[in-house]
Amino acid sequence: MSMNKEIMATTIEHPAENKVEPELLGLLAEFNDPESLMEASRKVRDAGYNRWDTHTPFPVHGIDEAMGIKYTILPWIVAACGLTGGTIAISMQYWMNAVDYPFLISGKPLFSIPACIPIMFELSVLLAAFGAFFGMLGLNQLPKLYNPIFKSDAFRRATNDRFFLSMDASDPKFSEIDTGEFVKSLNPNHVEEFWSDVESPKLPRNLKLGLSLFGVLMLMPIALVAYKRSTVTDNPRIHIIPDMDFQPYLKAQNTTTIFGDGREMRPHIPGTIPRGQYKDDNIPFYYGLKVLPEDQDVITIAAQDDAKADEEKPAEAKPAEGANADAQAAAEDKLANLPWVTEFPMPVTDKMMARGKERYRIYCSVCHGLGGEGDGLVTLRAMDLQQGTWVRPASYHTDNVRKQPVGRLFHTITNGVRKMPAYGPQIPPEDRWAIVLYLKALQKSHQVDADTLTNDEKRKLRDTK
Amino acid sequence: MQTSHDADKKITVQTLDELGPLPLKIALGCSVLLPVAFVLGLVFNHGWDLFAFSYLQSTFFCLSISLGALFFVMIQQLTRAGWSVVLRRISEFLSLGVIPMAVLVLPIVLLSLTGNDTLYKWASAENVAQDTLLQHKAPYLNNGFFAIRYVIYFASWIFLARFFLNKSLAQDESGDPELTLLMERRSGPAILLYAFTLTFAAFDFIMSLDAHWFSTIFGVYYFAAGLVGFFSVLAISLVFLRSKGLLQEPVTVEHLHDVGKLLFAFNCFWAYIAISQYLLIWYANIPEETTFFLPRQTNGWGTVSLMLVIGHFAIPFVFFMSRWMKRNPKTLCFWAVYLLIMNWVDIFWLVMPNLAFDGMDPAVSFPMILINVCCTIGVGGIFVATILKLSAGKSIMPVRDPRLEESLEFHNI
Repeated sequence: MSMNKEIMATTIEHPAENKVEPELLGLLAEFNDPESLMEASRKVRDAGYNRWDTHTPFPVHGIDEAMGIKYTILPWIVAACGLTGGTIAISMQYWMNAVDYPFLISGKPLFSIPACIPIMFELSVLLAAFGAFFGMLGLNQLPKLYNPIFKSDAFRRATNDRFFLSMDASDPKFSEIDTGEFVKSLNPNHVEEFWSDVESPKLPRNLKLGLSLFGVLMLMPIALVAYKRSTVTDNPRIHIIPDMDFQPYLKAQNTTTIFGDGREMRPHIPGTIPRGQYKDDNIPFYYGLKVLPEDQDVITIAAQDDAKADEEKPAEAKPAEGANADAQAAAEDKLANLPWVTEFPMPVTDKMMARGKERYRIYCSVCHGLGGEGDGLVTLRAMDLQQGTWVRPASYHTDNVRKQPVGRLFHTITNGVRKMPAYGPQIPPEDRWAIVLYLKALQKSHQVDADTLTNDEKRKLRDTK
Repeated sequence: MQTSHDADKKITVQTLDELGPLPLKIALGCSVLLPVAFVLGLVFNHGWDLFAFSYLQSTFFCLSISLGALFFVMIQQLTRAGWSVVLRRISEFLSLGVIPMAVLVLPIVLLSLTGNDTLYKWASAENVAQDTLLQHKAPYLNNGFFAIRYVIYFASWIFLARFFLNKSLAQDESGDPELTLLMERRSGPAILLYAFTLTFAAFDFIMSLDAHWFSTIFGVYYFAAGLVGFFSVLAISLVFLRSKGLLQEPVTVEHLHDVGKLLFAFNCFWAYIAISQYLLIWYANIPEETTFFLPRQTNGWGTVSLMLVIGHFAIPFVFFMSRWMKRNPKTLCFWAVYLLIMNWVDIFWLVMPNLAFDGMDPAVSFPMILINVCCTIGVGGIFVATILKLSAGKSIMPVRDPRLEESLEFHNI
């Protein structure tokens, strides 16, 4: 090494033509068969050399022992990687399932070991395999593209039918003459020296350019991701993998070329009844009527007339009650004469009452109020704002409403009346009947004579807040 | 393929006879414990049930070892393995254990033929009449068909074991490499036959103890258990024979190392199959599947289950993974004995919780373990004695196998 430094110092003016004195890297001995190589290896091992190697065309059994190579530490690397994988897997699953996003799946504990085992297994195996692969490469100092020993012509037969032993000059015991003599005493075919390269091969200029370009290009996806993450845009995002955002089903209110009439929404086929929509088998239940009248339009007429009236006049000009009072009165007349059911067409139970109360509070109480007096929150707010267009909803506790049969109440919920929209499409008939039941109960609760109550009930009423 | 050259000059033919009469005597002595277990069964409360289940457990524990041996023999032929030739004959001997087991399992079949429901609820017409599921399974699970299947299973196994042993023995005489080629060609279909018979035998004899339970992986579970048992026994026999001066030269540390590797690998395989079965049932949580694990978590069986998880998998996984554990005959023998005991616990755990007397769930009890241990030693004695008898006078190594040279030279890289 000292020689190199000297030369470098003298040729400092012409660094481009810098010629380094070749340095002896080691000795290469060639053998004819594996047995003599083994024999030689044992001798080299016993002579105390550490940095040397053998090169054979095929794996030779026992060469490790002959060379005195210690058993590899790779298993420990693999074990460490495997344990790391298992630990990562279990802590990751603990964090994800039990801490960060606790999500109860089929009644299992949030953190349950059996569910973690497959991932633990997979990640342990994956990291162990990585450990084995990269550990092997690392321990063998691979990949190594070039070795000065390749310049030996004789060495080419190392992949065919010759066996080589190479002594590294960096070994502390290595000295040019003694080691040379020693290697000759091993009875090789011949011994040669191999030297370091005089000049380092220059990289092709275009390679550097290409690599730089490649490096810049490699940065671009990362830069694009960073850019996209830090900005907002009105455009729909790019779908590299189209997920369930786009599905080929037909959408409402669109046109299509599949059907002759161009409609995506299909009308009912005449003479058929869609599944679950046959209603005429239980008229009291579905219509609140004992029998259907001849003119079936009459049962939806009130709501329709009201809607028509709304459309005809601008909102501000609409009086609170009555310009179309005639039409309404006519409709009311017609409705009053229909054969309404007076009994519930389904068994009345506590469960139904509870359901009715719940549904009433969801759908009705906002306008009609919790007690049915027509003082719901929406109403109160509209009154507060003095909205002229707002019609105060009817109280249930007027004689008019009280007299109505349950079928009529059911019909009102289903089809609406005056300003009240139809709730039929939103609430299934069972729930509508449940609401009627609760409504009846509300009405009853406003008409109790205090004398008919027991003392217990009175106290309960007083104490309940 | 090159024929084995002058192998008979170099190798002296050794037989198990060189062990002397002592092992046979000890094995026969052990078999006395089978009647002892029977008498114990008469003494204890519910002893008859305990004995019947213990007997089933013991026979299927020994049978699993022989079936593992049979599989090993066939897979070595199928893969044209060279390393294993020196220890193949011992495996072939072990596979002969299916012959005594065929006789010993016969009482179980006869018992069910009489309609006795001690072991199999489906065997009694009365039980079937009360149980819709058993009625649906009746076309398969009925006494007649059960007996027929018993004949098919054991006939297939005896045929396979004898075929591979006889062809191998014939080669000892003739040294004909064609016999090796023949065995290679036959081993493919043979393994197919073996796979089906073993799977259905496990379903029939062990899984149908609880006829309400379903697990399609159960056959593989029994297979995995059997291979653990077999490799344990193989390792123990090799270490024992070497200590007696048999096979000392041919079987080296390298072979023991490979047997240890296979034992370790199949122990992991067993754990893999066990967790696969458990995980699916645990996840789905369907009553008809969880009925298997529920009784195995109560009445002391939870301890046995945990013992399997920790003792059968975790402890050997950590300590038996090391290279030197497998290369040292003493440590190898220790782990082989340990895993054989664990395998016994495994079959115990499969069979015994199915006991149900007077509708009570069975608890792990001292009488149960006592009867079971006596029964297993008794059946094991008969098992070993028969194998010794059947293999007497036969070479313990395929002396003229064309791959013998390769096996003798075998080295782990």
